[in-house]
Amino acid sequence: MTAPARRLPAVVENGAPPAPRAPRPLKPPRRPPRAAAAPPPPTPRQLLLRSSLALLAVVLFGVLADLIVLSQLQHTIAQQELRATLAEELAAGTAPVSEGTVDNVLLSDGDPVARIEIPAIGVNEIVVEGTSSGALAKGPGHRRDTVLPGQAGVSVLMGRAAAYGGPFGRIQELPPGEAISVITGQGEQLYRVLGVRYAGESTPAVSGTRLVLETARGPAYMPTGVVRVDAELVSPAQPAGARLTTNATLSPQDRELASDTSTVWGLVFALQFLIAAELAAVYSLRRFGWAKTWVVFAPVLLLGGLLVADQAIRLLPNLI
Amino acid sequence: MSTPSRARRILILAAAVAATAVTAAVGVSPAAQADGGSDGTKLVVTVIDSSASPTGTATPTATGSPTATGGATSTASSTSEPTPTATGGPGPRNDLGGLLYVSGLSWVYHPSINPFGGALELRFSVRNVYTKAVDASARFWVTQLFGGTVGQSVDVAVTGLKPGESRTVSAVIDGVALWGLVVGHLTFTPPPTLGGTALAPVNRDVLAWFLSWPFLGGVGGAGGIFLWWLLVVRRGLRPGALFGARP
Repeated sequence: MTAPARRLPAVVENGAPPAPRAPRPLKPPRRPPRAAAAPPPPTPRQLLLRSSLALLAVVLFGVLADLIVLSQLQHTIAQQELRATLAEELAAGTAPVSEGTVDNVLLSDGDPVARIEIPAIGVNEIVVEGTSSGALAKGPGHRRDTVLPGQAGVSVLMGRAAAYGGPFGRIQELPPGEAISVITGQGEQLYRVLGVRYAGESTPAVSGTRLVLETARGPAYMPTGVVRVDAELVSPAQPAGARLTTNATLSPQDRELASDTSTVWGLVFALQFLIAAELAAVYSLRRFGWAKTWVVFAPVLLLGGLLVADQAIRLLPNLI
Repeated sequence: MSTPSRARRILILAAAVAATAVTAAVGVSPAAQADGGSDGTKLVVTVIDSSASPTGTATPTATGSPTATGGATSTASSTSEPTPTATGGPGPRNDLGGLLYVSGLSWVYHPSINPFGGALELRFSVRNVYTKAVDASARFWVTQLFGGTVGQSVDVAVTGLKPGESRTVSAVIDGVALWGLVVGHLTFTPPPTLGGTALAPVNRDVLAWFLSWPFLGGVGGAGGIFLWWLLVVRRGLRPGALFGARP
Protein backbone atom coordinates (compact mmCIF):
# COMPACT_ATOMS: atom_id res chain seq x y z
CA MET A 1 0.00 0.00 0.00
CA THR A 2 1.21 3.33 -0.80
CA ALA A 3 0.19 6.49 1.06
CA PRO A 4 -2.11 8.75 -0.84
CA ALA A 5 -0.40 11.70 -2.27
CA ARG A 6 -0.90 14.82 -0.15
CA ARG A 7 -2.42 17.69 -2.01
CA LEU A 8 -0.12 20.64 -1.87
CA PRO A 9 -1.60 24.08 -1.34
CA ALA A 10 -1.89 26.14 -4.37
CA VAL A 11 1.12 28.27 -4.87
CA VAL A 12 0.56 31.56 -6.41
CA GLU A 13 3.07 32.87 -8.69
CA ASN A 14 5.62 35.36 -7.30
CA GLY A 15 4.97 33.99 -3.74
CA ALA A 16 1.97 36.29 -3.03
CA PRO A 17 -0.70 35.06 -0.54
CA PRO A 18 -3.89 33.75 -1.98
CA ALA A 19 -6.65 36.28 -2.55
CA PRO A 20 -9.62 36.16 -0.07
CA ARG A 21 -12.57 34.30 -1.23
CA ALA A 22 -15.26 36.53 -2.59
CA PRO A 23 -18.45 36.63 -0.46
CA ARG A 24 -21.25 34.57 -1.69
CA PRO A 25 -23.94 36.72 -3.23
CA LEU A 26 -27.19 36.87 -1.28
CA LYS A 27 -30.02 34.91 -2.63
CA PRO A 28 -33.08 36.90 -3.51
CA PRO A 29 -35.98 36.22 -1.15
CA ARG A 30 -38.51 33.79 -2.37
CA ARG A 31 -41.23 36.24 -1.57
CA PRO A 32 -40.69 39.99 -1.51
CA PRO A 33 -41.11 41.53 1.99
CA ARG A 34 -44.42 43.03 2.71
CA ALA A 35 -44.33 46.77 2.37
CA ALA A 36 -45.01 48.65 5.62
CA ALA A 37 -48.47 50.07 5.51
CA ALA A 38 -48.46 53.81 5.93
CA PRO A 39 -50.74 54.94 8.77
CA PRO A 40 -53.80 56.68 7.52
CA PRO A 41 -53.91 60.40 8.16
CA PRO A 42 -55.88 61.31 11.28
CA THR A 43 -59.40 62.47 10.78
CA PRO A 44 -60.48 65.90 12.05
CA ARG A 45 -62.26 64.21 14.94
CA GLN A 46 -59.10 62.36 15.92
CA LEU A 47 -57.12 65.59 15.67
CA LEU A 48 -59.61 67.35 17.92
CA LEU A 49 -59.47 64.51 20.42
CA ARG A 50 -55.68 64.50 20.37
CA SER A 51 -55.50 68.25 20.93
CA SER A 52 -58.07 68.14 23.73
CA LEU A 53 -56.21 65.38 25.54
CA ALA A 54 -52.95 67.25 25.13
CA LEU A 55 -54.57 70.36 26.57
CA LEU A 56 -55.96 68.40 29.50
CA ALA A 57 -52.56 66.83 30.12
CA VAL A 58 -50.91 70.25 30.14
CA VAL A 59 -53.46 71.57 32.64
CA LEU A 60 -53.19 68.55 34.94
CA PHE A 61 -49.41 68.64 34.79
CA GLY A 62 -49.48 72.34 35.58
CA VAL A 63 -51.80 71.87 38.57
CA LEU A 64 -49.74 69.05 40.06
CA ALA A 65 -46.41 70.77 39.42
CA ASP A 66 -47.69 74.04 40.82
CA LEU A 67 -49.30 72.47 43.88
CA ILE A 68 -46.47 70.16 44.89
CA VAL A 69 -43.30 71.84 43.65
CA LEU A 70 -43.70 75.44 42.52
CA SER A 71 -46.02 76.44 45.36
CA GLN A 72 -43.15 75.93 47.80
CA LEU A 73 -40.99 78.29 45.75
CA GLN A 74 -43.77 80.87 45.49
CA HIS A 75 -44.22 80.73 49.26
CA THR A 76 -40.51 81.27 49.89
CA ILE A 77 -40.38 84.28 47.59
CA ALA A 78 -43.52 85.78 49.11
CA GLN A 79 -42.14 85.33 52.62
CA GLN A 80 -38.92 87.12 51.70
CA GLU A 81 -40.84 90.11 50.38
CA LEU A 82 -43.21 90.14 53.37
CA ARG A 83 -40.32 89.89 55.82
CA ALA A 84 -38.66 92.94 54.31
CA THR A 85 -41.91 94.90 54.32
CA LEU A 86 -42.73 94.07 57.93
CA ALA A 87 -39.21 94.88 59.06
CA GLU A 88 -39.50 98.31 57.47
CA GLU A 89 -42.89 98.89 59.08
CA LEU A 90 -41.65 97.79 62.49
CA ALA A 91 -38.63 100.05 62.20
CA ALA A 92 -40.83 102.97 61.21
CA GLY A 93 -43.47 102.22 63.84
CA THR A 94 -46.17 101.82 61.21
CA ALA A 95 -46.90 98.11 61.55
CA PRO A 96 -50.68 97.58 61.70
CA VAL A 97 -52.32 97.26 65.10
CA SER A 98 -55.89 97.19 63.82
CA GLU A 99 -57.66 96.28 60.59
CA GLY A 100 -56.42 99.50 59.03
CA THR A 101 -53.10 101.06 58.25
CA VAL A 102 -51.74 104.21 59.81
CA ASP A 103 -53.40 106.06 56.94
CA ASN A 104 -56.82 104.68 57.92
CA VAL A 105 -56.95 102.46 54.87
CA LEU A 106 -58.33 98.96 55.23
CA LEU A 107 -55.61 96.32 55.11
CA SER A 108 -55.67 94.27 51.93
CA ASP A 109 -55.52 90.51 51.83
CA GLY A 110 -51.86 89.51 51.97
CA ASP A 111 -50.51 92.54 53.85
CA PRO A 112 -48.04 91.55 56.60
CA VAL A 113 -49.26 92.02 60.16
CA ALA A 114 -47.03 89.87 62.39
CA ARG A 115 -44.22 87.35 62.63
CA ILE A 116 -44.78 84.02 64.35
CA GLU A 117 -42.05 81.78 65.70
CA ILE A 118 -42.58 78.25 67.03
CA PRO A 119 -39.08 76.85 67.63
CA ALA A 120 -40.30 73.35 68.52
CA ILE A 121 -41.52 72.68 64.98
CA GLY A 122 -39.30 75.09 63.07
CA VAL A 123 -41.92 77.68 62.20
CA ASN A 124 -40.70 81.20 61.45
CA GLU A 125 -43.27 82.85 59.22
CA ILE A 126 -44.68 86.24 58.41
CA VAL A 127 -48.42 86.39 59.09
CA VAL A 128 -50.59 88.15 56.54
CA GLU A 129 -54.00 89.72 56.87
CA GLY A 130 -56.88 87.63 55.55
CA THR A 131 -57.43 83.91 55.27
CA SER A 132 -58.60 83.39 51.71
CA SER A 133 -56.87 80.81 49.56
CA GLY A 134 -54.83 83.48 47.79
CA ALA A 135 -53.72 85.10 51.04
CA LEU A 136 -52.71 81.80 52.62
CA ALA A 137 -50.48 81.09 49.62
CA LYS A 138 -48.15 83.74 51.01
CA GLY A 139 -48.08 82.49 54.58
CA PRO A 140 -50.21 82.01 57.67
CA GLY A 141 -53.21 84.33 57.67
CA HIS A 142 -54.89 86.30 60.41
CA ARG A 143 -58.65 85.88 60.44
CA ARG A 144 -60.16 89.32 59.99
CA ASP A 145 -62.94 89.02 62.53
CA THR A 146 -60.55 88.35 65.41
CA VAL A 147 -58.09 90.58 67.24
CA LEU A 148 -54.42 90.61 66.39
CA PRO A 149 -52.16 88.28 68.40
CA GLY A 150 -51.38 89.72 71.81
CA GLN A 151 -54.49 91.86 71.97
CA ALA A 152 -57.23 91.21 74.50
CA GLY A 153 -59.56 88.55 73.14
CA VAL A 154 -59.19 85.50 70.95
CA SER A 155 -56.94 85.71 67.89
CA VAL A 156 -57.17 83.09 65.12
CA LEU A 157 -54.31 82.33 62.72
CA MET A 158 -54.91 79.90 59.84
CA GLY A 159 -52.16 78.20 57.84
CA ARG A 160 -51.76 75.62 55.12
CA ALA A 161 -50.83 72.06 56.02
CA ALA A 162 -49.03 70.89 52.87
CA ALA A 163 -49.04 73.25 49.87
CA TYR A 164 -47.21 76.59 49.77
CA GLY A 165 -44.66 75.57 52.34
CA GLY A 166 -47.20 73.95 54.65
CA PRO A 167 -46.24 76.23 57.54
CA PHE A 168 -48.77 74.70 59.96
CA GLY A 169 -48.29 71.11 58.81
CA ARG A 170 -46.77 70.04 62.13
CA ILE A 171 -48.76 72.01 64.70
CA GLN A 172 -50.39 68.79 65.92
CA GLU A 173 -47.01 67.79 67.32
CA LEU A 174 -46.93 70.73 69.72
CA PRO A 175 -47.01 69.45 73.29
CA PRO A 176 -48.73 71.39 76.07
CA GLY A 177 -46.50 74.09 77.47
CA GLU A 178 -44.53 74.73 74.27
CA ALA A 179 -43.66 78.39 73.60
CA ILE A 180 -44.99 80.49 70.74
CA SER A 181 -43.71 83.99 70.02
CA VAL A 182 -45.54 86.52 67.88
CA ILE A 183 -44.09 89.93 67.02
CA THR A 184 -46.62 92.59 66.08
CA GLY A 185 -46.67 96.34 65.97
CA GLN A 186 -47.29 96.22 69.72
CA GLY A 187 -44.19 94.23 70.58
CA GLU A 188 -43.40 90.60 71.24
CA GLN A 189 -46.32 88.52 72.46
CA LEU A 190 -45.54 85.24 74.24
CA TYR A 191 -47.92 82.30 74.30
CA ARG A 192 -47.87 78.86 75.89
CA VAL A 193 -49.55 75.95 74.14
CA LEU A 194 -52.57 74.49 75.91
CA GLY A 195 -53.44 71.55 73.66
CA VAL A 196 -54.84 70.27 70.39
CA ARG A 197 -58.55 70.33 69.61
CA TYR A 198 -60.60 68.52 66.98
CA ALA A 199 -64.09 69.44 65.84
CA GLY A 200 -66.62 68.70 68.52
CA GLU A 201 -64.31 69.31 71.45
CA SER A 202 -65.10 72.24 73.70
CA THR A 203 -62.92 75.32 73.80
CA PRO A 204 -60.46 75.64 76.68
CA ALA A 205 -61.81 77.14 79.88
CA VAL A 206 -59.19 79.87 79.92
CA SER A 207 -60.48 83.28 80.83
CA GLY A 208 -57.58 85.19 79.31
CA THR A 209 -56.33 86.16 75.92
CA ARG A 210 -55.91 83.19 73.64
CA LEU A 211 -54.34 82.32 70.29
CA VAL A 212 -55.84 79.63 68.06
CA LEU A 213 -53.80 78.06 65.25
CA GLU A 214 -55.86 76.26 62.62
CA THR A 215 -54.94 74.00 59.73
CA ALA A 216 -56.23 71.01 57.76
CA ARG A 217 -56.36 67.59 59.33
CA GLY A 218 -55.81 64.31 57.50
CA PRO A 219 -53.59 63.24 54.58
CA ALA A 220 -51.71 65.93 52.69
CA TYR A 221 -53.84 67.57 49.98
CA MET A 222 -56.85 65.48 51.12
CA PRO A 223 -58.24 67.25 54.19
CA THR A 224 -60.74 65.49 56.40
CA GLY A 225 -61.33 68.30 58.85
CA VAL A 226 -59.77 71.08 60.87
CA VAL A 227 -57.33 70.78 63.73
CA ARG A 228 -56.88 73.61 66.21
CA VAL A 229 -54.09 74.35 68.66
CA ASP A 230 -54.95 76.61 71.59
CA ALA A 231 -52.37 78.74 73.34
CA GLU A 232 -52.76 81.19 76.20
CA LEU A 233 -51.03 84.54 76.44
CA VAL A 234 -48.38 84.72 79.14
CA SER A 235 -47.18 88.25 78.38
CA PRO A 236 -49.27 91.35 79.14
CA ALA A 237 -52.34 91.74 76.93
CA GLN A 238 -52.35 94.66 74.54
CA PRO A 239 -55.32 96.90 73.77
CA ALA A 240 -57.24 95.87 70.67
CA GLY A 241 -57.55 98.10 67.63
CA ALA A 242 -60.68 98.81 65.63
CA ARG A 243 -62.09 96.13 63.35
CA LEU A 244 -64.70 96.41 60.67
CA THR A 245 -65.14 92.72 60.01
CA THR A 246 -67.24 90.69 62.39
CA ASN A 247 -68.07 87.00 62.45
CA ALA A 248 -71.32 87.74 60.63
CA THR A 249 -69.69 89.81 57.90
CA LEU A 250 -66.65 87.61 57.37
CA SER A 251 -66.36 86.65 53.73
CA PRO A 252 -67.24 82.98 53.02
CA GLN A 253 -63.90 82.40 51.31
CA ASP A 254 -62.12 83.43 54.53
CA ARG A 255 -63.57 80.59 56.57
CA GLU A 256 -61.97 77.24 57.26
CA LEU A 257 -61.54 74.90 54.27
CA ALA A 258 -63.29 77.39 51.98
CA SER A 259 -62.44 77.86 48.32
CA ASP A 260 -61.91 81.24 46.73
CA THR A 261 -64.22 81.84 43.79
CA SER A 262 -63.62 85.58 43.61
CA THR A 263 -60.95 85.18 40.92
CA VAL A 264 -62.72 82.73 38.63
CA TRP A 265 -62.50 85.37 35.92
CA GLY A 266 -58.76 84.91 36.02
CA LEU A 267 -59.18 81.20 35.42
CA VAL A 268 -61.41 81.90 32.42
CA PHE A 269 -58.86 84.18 30.81
CA ALA A 270 -56.00 81.84 31.58
CA LEU A 271 -57.89 79.01 29.89
CA GLN A 272 -58.56 81.23 26.87
CA PHE A 273 -54.86 82.01 26.63
CA LEU A 274 -54.01 78.32 26.85
CA ILE A 275 -56.50 77.37 24.15
CA ALA A 276 -55.21 80.11 21.87
CA ALA A 277 -51.65 78.91 22.38
CA GLU A 278 -52.74 75.36 21.66
CA LEU A 279 -54.39 76.40 18.38
CA ALA A 280 -51.34 78.34 17.35
CA ALA A 281 -49.11 75.39 18.21
CA VAL A 282 -51.20 73.06 16.07
CA TYR A 283 -50.99 75.46 13.14
CA SER A 284 -47.26 75.87 13.62
CA LEU A 285 -46.80 72.12 13.77
CA ARG A 286 -48.38 71.71 10.34
CA ARG A 287 -46.67 74.70 8.83
CA PHE A 288 -43.16 74.72 10.33
CA GLY A 289 -42.59 71.24 11.73
CA TRP A 290 -41.70 69.78 15.12
CA ALA A 291 -38.39 71.51 15.81
CA LYS A 292 -39.49 75.11 15.43
CA THR A 293 -42.85 74.48 17.08
CA TRP A 294 -41.16 72.88 20.10
CA VAL A 295 -38.73 75.76 20.57
CA VAL A 296 -41.41 78.42 20.34
CA PHE A 297 -44.47 76.88 21.93
CA ALA A 298 -43.11 74.65 24.70
CA PRO A 299 -42.45 77.65 27.01
CA VAL A 300 -45.72 79.29 26.00
CA LEU A 301 -47.78 76.18 26.75
CA LEU A 302 -45.91 75.67 30.01
CA LEU A 303 -46.64 79.24 31.02
CA GLY A 304 -50.29 78.83 30.08
CA GLY A 305 -50.56 75.61 32.07
CA LEU A 306 -49.05 77.25 35.13
CA LEU A 307 -51.36 80.26 34.82
CA VAL A 308 -54.37 77.97 34.71
CA ALA A 309 -53.01 75.88 37.56
CA ASP A 310 -52.37 78.91 39.74
CA GLN A 311 -55.98 80.00 39.34
CA ALA A 312 -57.38 76.49 39.69
CA ILE A 313 -55.56 75.94 42.99
CA ARG A 314 -57.46 78.86 44.49
CA LEU A 315 -60.61 76.80 44.08
CA LEU A 316 -59.20 74.14 46.37
CA PRO A 317 -59.73 74.33 50.17
CA ASN A 318 -57.64 77.13 51.64
CA LEU A 319 -56.03 75.06 54.42
CA ILE A 320 -54.42 72.30 52.34
CA MET B 1 -54.84 76.88 -2.98
CA SER B 2 -57.43 76.08 -0.44
CA THR B 3 -54.96 74.86 2.17
CA PRO B 4 -53.02 78.13 2.59
CA SER B 5 -56.19 80.19 2.76
CA ARG B 6 -57.65 77.82 5.34
CA ALA B 7 -54.48 77.94 7.37
CA ARG B 8 -54.51 81.71 7.18
CA ARG B 9 -58.07 81.77 8.49
CA ILE B 10 -57.07 79.53 11.41
CA LEU B 11 -54.12 81.80 12.22
CA ILE B 12 -56.29 84.89 12.16
CA LEU B 13 -58.85 83.21 14.40
CA ALA B 14 -56.19 82.15 16.88
CA ALA B 15 -54.69 85.63 16.93
CA ALA B 16 -58.12 87.14 17.52
CA VAL B 17 -58.82 84.83 20.46
CA ALA B 18 -55.42 85.55 21.99
CA ALA B 19 -55.83 89.30 21.52
CA THR B 20 -59.25 89.16 23.13
CA ALA B 21 -57.91 87.28 26.11
CA VAL B 22 -54.96 89.59 26.63
CA THR B 23 -57.01 92.74 26.16
CA ALA B 24 -59.69 91.53 28.52
CA ALA B 25 -57.14 90.52 31.11
CA VAL B 26 -55.38 93.87 30.96
CA GLY B 27 -58.65 95.73 31.07
CA VAL B 28 -60.12 93.79 33.95
CA SER B 29 -57.07 93.71 36.17
CA PRO B 30 -57.32 97.24 37.55
CA ALA B 31 -61.01 96.79 38.23
CA ALA B 32 -60.36 93.56 40.03
CA GLN B 33 -57.69 95.18 42.12
CA ALA B 34 -59.96 97.97 43.13
CA ASP B 35 -61.35 96.00 46.02
CA GLY B 36 -58.40 93.86 46.75
CA GLY B 37 -55.42 95.77 45.53
CA SER B 38 -52.69 97.37 47.50
CA ASP B 39 -54.51 100.67 47.85
CA GLY B 40 -57.50 98.93 49.41
CA THR B 41 -60.74 100.49 50.45
CA LYS B 42 -60.93 103.59 52.54
CA LEU B 43 -61.55 102.70 56.13
CA VAL B 44 -64.98 103.74 57.28
CA VAL B 45 -64.73 105.20 60.73
CA THR B 46 -66.55 102.90 63.10
CA VAL B 47 -64.85 103.47 66.38
CA ILE B 48 -65.69 100.74 68.84
CA ASP B 49 -64.36 102.68 71.76
CA SER B 50 -63.97 106.38 71.63
CA SER B 51 -60.52 106.22 73.14
CA ALA B 52 -59.29 103.51 70.83
CA SER B 53 -57.03 104.80 68.11
CA PRO B 54 -55.68 102.55 65.37
CA THR B 55 -53.07 105.08 64.38
CA GLY B 56 -50.12 102.89 65.20
CA THR B 57 -48.26 104.56 67.99
CA ALA B 58 -46.04 101.54 68.49
CA THR B 59 -42.36 102.34 68.54
CA PRO B 60 -40.66 99.12 67.53
CA THR B 61 -36.94 98.82 67.13
CA ALA B 62 -35.29 97.79 63.92
CA THR B 63 -34.09 94.54 65.41
CA GLY B 64 -37.49 92.98 65.35
CA SER B 65 -38.12 93.43 69.04
CA PRO B 66 -40.43 96.38 69.09
CA THR B 67 -41.26 98.20 72.26
CA ALA B 68 -44.69 97.17 73.39
CA THR B 69 -46.25 100.55 73.89
CA GLY B 70 -49.42 99.52 72.14
CA GLY B 71 -51.15 100.82 69.10
CA ALA B 72 -54.41 101.47 70.82
CA THR B 73 -54.80 103.29 74.06
CA SER B 74 -57.75 101.45 75.47
CA THR B 75 -59.37 98.09 75.39
CA ALA B 76 -61.84 97.69 72.61
CA SER B 77 -64.73 95.30 72.70
CA SER B 78 -63.61 91.75 73.25
CA THR B 79 -63.78 89.51 70.25
CA SER B 80 -65.28 86.15 70.83
CA GLU B 81 -63.81 83.17 69.06
CA PRO B 82 -65.65 82.34 65.88
CA THR B 83 -67.92 79.38 66.07
CA PRO B 84 -66.04 76.34 64.79
CA THR B 85 -67.42 75.16 61.51
CA ALA B 86 -68.68 71.65 61.28
CA THR B 87 -65.79 70.57 59.12
CA GLY B 88 -65.11 67.44 61.04
CA GLY B 89 -68.69 66.28 61.16
CA PRO B 90 -70.83 66.19 64.25
CA GLY B 91 -69.23 63.10 65.76
CA PRO B 92 -69.48 62.04 69.36
CA ARG B 93 -69.09 64.57 72.11
CA ASN B 94 -65.44 64.62 73.13
CA ASP B 95 -64.60 66.78 76.05
CA LEU B 96 -61.86 67.07 78.62
CA GLY B 97 -63.61 69.96 80.36
CA GLY B 98 -60.60 72.21 80.18
CA LEU B 99 -59.02 70.22 83.02
CA LEU B 100 -56.74 68.09 80.87
CA TYR B 101 -55.01 69.11 77.67
CA VAL B 102 -53.88 66.58 75.07
CA SER B 103 -51.55 67.20 72.13
CA GLY B 104 -51.80 65.56 68.72
CA LEU B 105 -50.10 62.30 67.78
CA SER B 106 -46.57 62.16 66.44
CA TRP B 107 -44.82 59.09 65.06
CA VAL B 108 -41.40 57.55 64.51
CA TYR B 109 -40.81 54.48 62.33
CA HIS B 110 -38.22 51.91 63.36
CA PRO B 111 -37.30 49.90 60.24
CA SER B 112 -36.51 46.21 60.24
CA ILE B 113 -34.88 43.75 57.83
CA ASN B 114 -37.73 41.37 58.49
CA PRO B 115 -40.44 42.10 55.91
CA PHE B 116 -43.04 41.28 58.55
CA GLY B 117 -41.34 43.37 61.23
CA GLY B 118 -40.96 47.12 61.50
CA ALA B 119 -42.34 49.11 64.41
CA LEU B 120 -44.25 52.34 64.60
CA GLU B 121 -43.82 54.41 67.72
CA LEU B 122 -46.73 56.70 68.52
CA ARG B 123 -46.58 59.38 71.19
CA PHE B 124 -48.58 62.24 72.61
CA SER B 125 -48.42 64.62 75.56
CA VAL B 126 -51.01 65.26 78.22
CA ARG B 127 -51.09 68.05 80.78
CA ASN B 128 -53.08 68.19 83.99
CA VAL B 129 -54.36 71.63 84.96
CA TYR B 130 -56.70 70.28 87.64
CA THR B 131 -55.85 70.73 91.28
CA LYS B 132 -55.48 67.02 92.07
CA ALA B 133 -53.66 64.05 90.60
CA VAL B 134 -55.48 62.30 87.77
CA ASP B 135 -55.50 58.71 86.51
CA ALA B 136 -56.36 58.10 82.88
CA SER B 137 -55.66 55.60 80.10
CA ALA B 138 -54.64 55.69 76.47
CA ARG B 139 -55.25 53.16 73.71
CA PHE B 140 -53.05 53.16 70.61
CA TRP B 141 -53.73 51.25 67.40
CA VAL B 142 -52.80 51.39 63.73
CA THR B 143 -54.96 50.87 60.65
CA GLN B 144 -54.13 50.73 56.98
CA LEU B 145 -55.86 53.04 54.55
CA PHE B 146 -58.71 50.59 53.94
CA GLY B 147 -59.54 50.49 57.63
CA GLY B 148 -58.10 47.11 58.59
CA THR B 149 -56.15 46.93 61.82
CA VAL B 150 -52.39 46.45 61.55
CA GLY B 151 -50.58 44.81 64.44
CA GLN B 152 -51.86 44.73 67.98
CA SER B 153 -53.43 47.63 69.83
CA VAL B 154 -51.61 48.83 72.94
CA ASP B 155 -53.20 50.08 76.17
CA VAL B 156 -51.17 52.38 78.38
CA ALA B 157 -52.16 53.49 81.86
CA VAL B 158 -51.50 57.13 82.68
CA THR B 159 -51.46 57.10 86.44
CA GLY B 160 -50.68 59.72 89.03
CA LEU B 161 -50.59 62.71 86.70
CA LYS B 162 -49.85 65.49 89.17
CA PRO B 163 -51.32 69.00 89.01
CA GLY B 164 -49.44 71.08 86.45
CA GLU B 165 -47.52 68.05 85.18
CA SER B 166 -47.03 67.37 81.47
CA ARG B 167 -46.28 63.79 80.54
CA THR B 168 -45.33 62.25 77.21
CA VAL B 169 -46.91 58.86 76.62
CA SER B 170 -45.71 56.55 73.85
CA ALA B 171 -46.37 53.06 72.56
CA VAL B 172 -44.66 50.86 69.98
CA ILE B 173 -46.72 48.78 67.58
CA ASP B 174 -44.89 46.02 65.71
CA GLY B 175 -45.56 44.43 62.34
CA VAL B 176 -46.23 47.45 60.15
CA ALA B 177 -43.38 47.02 57.64
CA LEU B 178 -45.65 45.56 54.97
CA TRP B 179 -47.67 48.78 54.81
CA GLY B 180 -46.05 51.98 53.63
CA LEU B 181 -49.00 54.19 54.52
CA VAL B 182 -50.83 53.70 57.81
CA VAL B 183 -52.93 55.76 60.18
CA GLY B 184 -52.06 55.86 63.85
CA HIS B 185 -54.94 56.30 66.29
CA LEU B 186 -55.23 57.27 69.92
CA THR B 187 -58.16 57.27 72.30
CA PHE B 188 -57.43 59.08 75.53
CA THR B 189 -59.88 58.14 78.25
CA PRO B 190 -60.03 60.50 81.24
CA PRO B 191 -61.87 59.75 84.48
CA PRO B 192 -65.66 59.95 83.99
CA THR B 193 -65.89 62.95 86.27
CA LEU B 194 -63.35 65.34 87.64
CA GLY B 195 -64.37 67.86 90.29
CA GLY B 196 -67.99 67.47 89.32
CA THR B 197 -67.28 68.01 85.61
CA ALA B 198 -68.24 65.17 83.28
CA LEU B 199 -65.44 64.19 80.92
CA ALA B 200 -65.48 62.06 77.78
CA PRO B 201 -62.72 60.33 75.76
CA VAL B 202 -61.01 62.22 72.95
CA ASN B 203 -59.49 60.81 69.78
CA ARG B 204 -56.36 61.74 67.86
CA ASP B 205 -54.99 60.34 64.60
CA VAL B 206 -51.99 60.84 62.36
CA LEU B 207 -50.95 59.63 58.91
CA ALA B 208 -47.58 57.85 58.91
CA TRP B 209 -45.63 56.86 55.81
CA PHE B 210 -42.36 55.03 55.29
CA LEU B 211 -40.59 52.84 52.74
CA SER B 212 -42.21 49.44 52.96
CA TRP B 213 -40.90 46.17 51.57
CA PRO B 214 -43.70 45.77 48.98
CA PHE B 215 -43.06 49.29 47.79
CA LEU B 216 -39.32 48.71 47.44
CA GLY B 217 -39.98 45.41 45.66
CA GLY B 218 -42.41 47.07 43.29
CA VAL B 219 -39.96 49.85 42.47
CA GLY B 220 -37.16 47.33 41.91
CA GLY B 221 -39.35 45.16 39.70
CA ALA B 222 -40.56 48.10 37.67
CA GLY B 223 -36.98 49.29 37.23
CA GLY B 224 -35.89 45.85 36.04
CA ILE B 225 -38.73 45.60 33.56
CA PHE B 226 -37.95 49.06 32.24
CA LEU B 227 -34.26 48.17 31.84
CA TRP B 228 -35.15 44.96 30.02
CA TRP B 229 -37.52 46.83 27.73
CA LEU B 230 -34.92 49.51 27.05
CA LEU B 231 -32.01 47.20 26.27
CA VAL B 232 -33.65 44.11 24.82
CA VAL B 233 -36.82 45.25 23.14
CA ARG B 234 -35.92 48.75 22.06
CA ARG B 235 -32.23 48.31 21.22
CA GLY B 236 -32.53 44.75 19.99
CA LEU B 237 -29.84 43.24 22.19
CA ARG B 238 -29.79 39.49 22.69
CA PRO B 239 -31.13 38.60 26.13
CA GLY B 240 -27.87 36.79 26.94
CA ALA B 241 -25.81 39.89 26.24
CA LEU B 242 -27.18 41.53 29.37
CA PHE B 243 -25.46 38.91 31.49
CA GLY B 244 -22.20 38.64 29.56
CA ALA B 245 -22.92 35.28 27.83
CA ARG B 246 -20.74 34.42 24.86
CA PRO B 247 -22.42 33.96 21.48
